[in-house]
Amino acid sequence: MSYTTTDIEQLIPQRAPIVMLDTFSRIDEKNYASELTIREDNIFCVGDKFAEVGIIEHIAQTAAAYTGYKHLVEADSVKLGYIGDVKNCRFTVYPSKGDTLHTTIRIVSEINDITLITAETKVADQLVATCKMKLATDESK
Amino acid sequence: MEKNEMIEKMVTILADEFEVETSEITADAPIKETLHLDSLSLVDMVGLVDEEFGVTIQNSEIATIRTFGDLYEFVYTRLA
Repeated sequence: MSYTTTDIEQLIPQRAPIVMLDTFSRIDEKNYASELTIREDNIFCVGDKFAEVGIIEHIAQTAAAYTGYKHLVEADSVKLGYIGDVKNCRFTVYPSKGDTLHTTIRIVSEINDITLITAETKVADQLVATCKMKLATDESK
Repeated sequence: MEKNEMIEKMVTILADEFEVETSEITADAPIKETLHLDSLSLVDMVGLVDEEFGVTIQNSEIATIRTFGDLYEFVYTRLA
């Protein structure tokens, strides 16, 4: 299963210019991957570099795409999600315009409407960021 | 892993993560109240058990785990 730019909006509520995913794919039940190529006009670029907040947004959208995918598979509608918590964030390098972010997330646990993930973002083999993130899904929407 | 060893490790990591005294974590004590868990932090405890012991607690199973004794039994039977 793989989603690309044209159909990724099935999984997340964001729309251009806020969409920070080019692709999203399932590796296995607990691991998912995404990519984003940083273009000239990306709103999270500061000078030639991609800011931390953009990396966080990219990771959050990867996690949101997972919950969207899960609901689609369960033949449910895509729910609204919120970031509940971000911790143990480590940034090791600022990506540059033209770089492609490769992110993998691991689903650590899911209880009720809360999902805990760990994320790792790389550019080629260079580690860019790691973090833990909690997402809450609004089941009423 | 022996059961006592597993319990000792569990008590240490839970006390450390949720900042409570190890003496508060007894077999009969209720988990949520002792660790001051809400819906957001409950998922942290489940994640910790997964990361440290490789045991996944499913959404449908969490309601059956009320006390630390329940948790020890749940994890130990899946480790065995």
